[in-house]
Amino acid sequence: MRLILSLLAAAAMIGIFSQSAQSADPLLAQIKVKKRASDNYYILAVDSKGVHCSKNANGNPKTVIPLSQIDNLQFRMPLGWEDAMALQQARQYEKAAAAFAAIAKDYAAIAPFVDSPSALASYWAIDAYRRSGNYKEVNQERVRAMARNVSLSERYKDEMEIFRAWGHIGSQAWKELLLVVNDWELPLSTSGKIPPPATPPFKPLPANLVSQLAFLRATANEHLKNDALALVDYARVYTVDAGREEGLTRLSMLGALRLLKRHPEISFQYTVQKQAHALAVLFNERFQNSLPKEFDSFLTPPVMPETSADAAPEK
Amino acid sequence: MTKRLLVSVIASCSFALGQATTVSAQAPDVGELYNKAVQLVERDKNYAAALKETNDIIDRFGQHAKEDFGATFGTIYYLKGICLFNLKQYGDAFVEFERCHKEFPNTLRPDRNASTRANVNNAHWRRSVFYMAACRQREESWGEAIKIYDQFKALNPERGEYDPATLELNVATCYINAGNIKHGQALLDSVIKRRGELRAKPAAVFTAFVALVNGWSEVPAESIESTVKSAHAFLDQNIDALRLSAYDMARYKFNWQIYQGCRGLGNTGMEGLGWRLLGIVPETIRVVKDLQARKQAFTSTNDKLEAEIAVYEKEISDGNPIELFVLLEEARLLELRGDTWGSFAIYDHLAVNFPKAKSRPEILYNATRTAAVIRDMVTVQHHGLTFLSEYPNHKLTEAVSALLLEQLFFNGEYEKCLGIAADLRRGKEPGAPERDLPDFAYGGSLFYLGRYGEAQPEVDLHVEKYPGSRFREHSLYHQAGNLVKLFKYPRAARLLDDFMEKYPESILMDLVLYDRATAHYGMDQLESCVKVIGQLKDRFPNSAVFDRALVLEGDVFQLKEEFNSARKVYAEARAMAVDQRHDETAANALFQMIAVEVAQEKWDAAIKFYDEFMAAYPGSYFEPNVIVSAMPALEAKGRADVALGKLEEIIIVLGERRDVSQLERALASYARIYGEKNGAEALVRRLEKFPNVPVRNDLLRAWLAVTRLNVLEDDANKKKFKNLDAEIKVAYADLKALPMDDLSNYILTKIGQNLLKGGEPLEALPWFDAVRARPNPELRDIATMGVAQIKANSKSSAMNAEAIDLFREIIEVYKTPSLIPEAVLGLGRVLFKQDKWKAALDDALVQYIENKNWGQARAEVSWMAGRCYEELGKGDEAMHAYLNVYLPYTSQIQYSADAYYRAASLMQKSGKKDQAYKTLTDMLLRMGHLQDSDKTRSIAKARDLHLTLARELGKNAEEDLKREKE
Repeated sequence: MRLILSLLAAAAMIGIFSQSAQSADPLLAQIKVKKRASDNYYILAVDSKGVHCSKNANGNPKTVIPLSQIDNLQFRMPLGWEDAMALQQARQYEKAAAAFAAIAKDYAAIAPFVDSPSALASYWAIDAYRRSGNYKEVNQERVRAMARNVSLSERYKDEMEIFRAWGHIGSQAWKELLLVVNDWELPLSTSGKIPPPATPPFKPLPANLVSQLAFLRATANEHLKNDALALVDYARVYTVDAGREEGLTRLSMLGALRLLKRHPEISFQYTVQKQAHALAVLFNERFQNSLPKEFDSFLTPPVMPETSADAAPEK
Repeated sequence: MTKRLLVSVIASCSFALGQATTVSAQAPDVGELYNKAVQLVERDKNYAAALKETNDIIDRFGQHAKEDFGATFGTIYYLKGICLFNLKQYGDAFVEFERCHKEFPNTLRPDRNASTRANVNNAHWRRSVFYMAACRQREESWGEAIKIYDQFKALNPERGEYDPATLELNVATCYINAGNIKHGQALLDSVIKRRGELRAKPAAVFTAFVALVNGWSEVPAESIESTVKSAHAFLDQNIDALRLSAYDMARYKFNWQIYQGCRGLGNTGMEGLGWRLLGIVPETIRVVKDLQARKQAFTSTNDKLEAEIAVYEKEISDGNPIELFVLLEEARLLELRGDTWGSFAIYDHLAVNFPKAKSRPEILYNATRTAAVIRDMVTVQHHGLTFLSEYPNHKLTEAVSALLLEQLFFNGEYEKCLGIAADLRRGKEPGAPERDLPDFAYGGSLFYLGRYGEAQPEVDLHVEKYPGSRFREHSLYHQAGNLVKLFKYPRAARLLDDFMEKYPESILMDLVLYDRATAHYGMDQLESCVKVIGQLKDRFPNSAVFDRALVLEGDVFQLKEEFNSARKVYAEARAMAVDQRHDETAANALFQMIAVEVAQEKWDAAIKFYDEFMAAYPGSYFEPNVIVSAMPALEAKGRADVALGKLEEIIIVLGERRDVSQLERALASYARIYGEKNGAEALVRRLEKFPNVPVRNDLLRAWLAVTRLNVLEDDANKKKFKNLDAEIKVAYADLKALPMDDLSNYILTKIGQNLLKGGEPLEALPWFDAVRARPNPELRDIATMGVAQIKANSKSSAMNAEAIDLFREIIEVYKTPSLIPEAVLGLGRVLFKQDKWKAALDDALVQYIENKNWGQARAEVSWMAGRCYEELGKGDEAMHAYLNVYLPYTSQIQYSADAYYRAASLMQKSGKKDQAYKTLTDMLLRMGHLQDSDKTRSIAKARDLHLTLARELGKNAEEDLKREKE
């Protein structure tokens, strides 16, 4: 039984069902009821009473199977799902987001069922909006998902929480953004003999989430002029996840380049110059020579300063 | 080579021979044997057993196979080739495939007379060529393999005979491995683009891609640039198509193969490409999630998937999953490229997220190192100290310590630096390169911690031993600055001038100018002092010592009694120091403002500042000075008693803090003011019953008793006490009653000296010994002198010997100028007492005599020298020494009388009787009237000798004396 009943809040459910209009044909699903063989049903809605379904596509006659009686329920994915996923994989994130958002809306009645196509579509829509850089829509789609009482399993929980922080970029609420990100940082002890690091590490999470959090913190700190902290975090973004998410890798490398350009030691510190050069070259190599012109000067290798051994001898 | 292809190939073979066997009367067991072999291959994968069966068929039927079976028998050799191929015996397999193709063409028919009516084709005639190529490919004979694959294609094989995707991927792989990357890559690109049409298996495509990655890393240096460009273009086009599920990447070991390929790319200067490809390797958690999703597709449990999940979960929990290695490689690649921030971010992430990594020491070391490069000082400390706490004895411990030390030093963590520097330099010779940093940090830390006495030899040594040090600029500043703190102004001034010439643009220049101004001030060069302060103010308006420089400028004006100017700059300094939260400087400025007002008898202003000071800086270093300084104003305003009361409170606080130096200052001030106001006796009584002394504070009691003694022993107060000696005795008794551990070296020494002076040497010994046993070297030389003197005066020859060593310790180790004459004298006396004539002369007496301004013991020393020369048979030298006694020091009768007599005796012995007689006459005229005593025993001897000589010379001694006297 993989249903999470606690996720179904009865009061909220009534509200949702009274509001949401089901605009698509009901989805077919295979349901395994206890002590019985699996059977196919059209799913009409889900609430605290159970799964409202019918053997017929027109919804009549309707039966309600209590959730406690269901061993397993597998949805057939709705039309348009594969297309939406193809758009996502082709990195056409705006289009993918719109497609997923439509599915989430069309099947809102089943959103409270854990990992239902509607719930998953909400997740993918928010993620696609995030990847497209449309952070305002990230927030709005989140709000819509909450209103639908979307239920997702544990594996999506952290990411859905982090999406909340992305919404703050849309509203440019940098301090609020930092506060949200701070919740994901490891608590630091300042009483011990070992001082904490300058930028607090994040709690143990998959690398792609660490990468997202680092980007959020870097963005906030960049706008709050905490350049040194932001620079380290931008470096975290494109490294700890081994650059797997290309969009985030690109954004973070550009962020680091912006900070290096205004780094106080860029004009004389070889380490900083070398860093800027390395990033500019790596960026061009990775992203088809698309380095913005403002960083062109970084493409010239810096000159290593003479070492103390080469310097004029002491009198 | 795919399994499916192999199976279909064998199945068709089975059909062909099955047909043959069903019609064969002569060989009814061929089909049976063949079917058995096929089953062993297909079902059991037992290639060795199948090989045995095929060999059996060939042994039994091979001799006339062409005649009996025609082309069909070629399938037996083909099956044998398949067995050998799977047993990785590619050379032998090739021979069988070749035989199948060459000896059993489909044109071969069985003899008409053959009993078998088998008349079917060799179904593997073309396919065996494919396998011949595959054998050569496995043997890494890439060129030959390509040639044979071409031959296979030229045979126009039918669709069912081979897998076109496999063929194309194999050819592509051969071209790549043969070094023709461009062509191989193009072939692979073509397969990927037609993967749907070709039904190419993703894992097979990825296998070829791994070969391509390895091929990229092996291109010659001149092709690297174009290869990188073309590789990125290839990835831009195909990376999504190449992507496999996380579990497939793991189970086919592609993740490790890509990781290895990226290492190769990094080693050949293609770090950017390697970095991009590392992203293909999925994290192990993704593999677990992939497996969990697969598990969800089953309604019942799947043990195999559960077992797989457990394997990968264990990899994560063991702490060394593949992503750890991927990230380490990524850090290496990025650092090779110059991206230190990226490299640091990875090591920092690994240090937190992979605590069980086998390479944790290296991770922490690299996190520390890269944090140092990007100048993230706080994080250097975090990772460095974590390393040292977890791996105190690792081979990298010293390297981490060195990294940490430099960061800690330039971050102002001087206490921590001392410990680490001491560890780092242990066991290494001064001047050794590895001691450069620790020696620099050790001396510099002592300097900044205000431990100037200890700092000077350290900074001097660093300057001397490391002329090429990268810390030289700082080290030279420490050397000169420390001398200023030790009030050694002339040498400090010279070194500071040298520094300014050598490093005119030094970042330390404001500090150097401030110290130079201080040195001018200390040498009364007031105009120069102001001039240097002016330079500092002009060049460094934002200097952290600007406020202190203003205070110094104020001090100059104050000394010159230019009070208005002084008042102005002190006020400016105070405002600036308050603004910058430099409390000590602000307090000092305010203190000086009080002094300026008092000097002009502006009591109201002085009191105003005094009250501000007491409100802002209670308990500060300057508080006792302020009270003392403001006392005239406080007295004028009727607040002296209150101020003295305040001073009494401070004394209690300082006593509780055990701040001996401040306590001594405060008590001295208090004694002076209270004494001036109430008289010495009242002061002594007040000190005896000082208010609010905590019961257990023996340190404070000791200092109150010492202050009392100082008052009692002050010559100016001798007549102010009725029973002075008794009072002094009581004060010392009070001191002696306190626990020795609570008494400072100064007090212990004072008690010891008092006991020595009072004729109680054995009682004095433990007090001196206590000082000598303490690590604090203060007054150890004086205590050593006390012990030496006590042991020198002992009748025990063993103690005398110890005294000799102690006197030598004072002369050679402590070298205290004020103690050396006394120590040399003591040494001479003990050696003389032990009849060590030559040593007494060489080690002590001659030195004493030659230092004309040394002490009051010249008569004794010359007499001892005369005695030593005499004992050594050096009459002339002895005579000279005796002359230096009785002529200048006649009044020191205990030496001059004996010197006279001994000189005369020497003259007599050398035959100069007249001269001896005259000398004795002279002596008796001067000393003859003295009464007999221990000191004048030589006079009696001189009388006897005088009479003897008179007789021998025919003279009348009595008359001669009378005449000479007249």
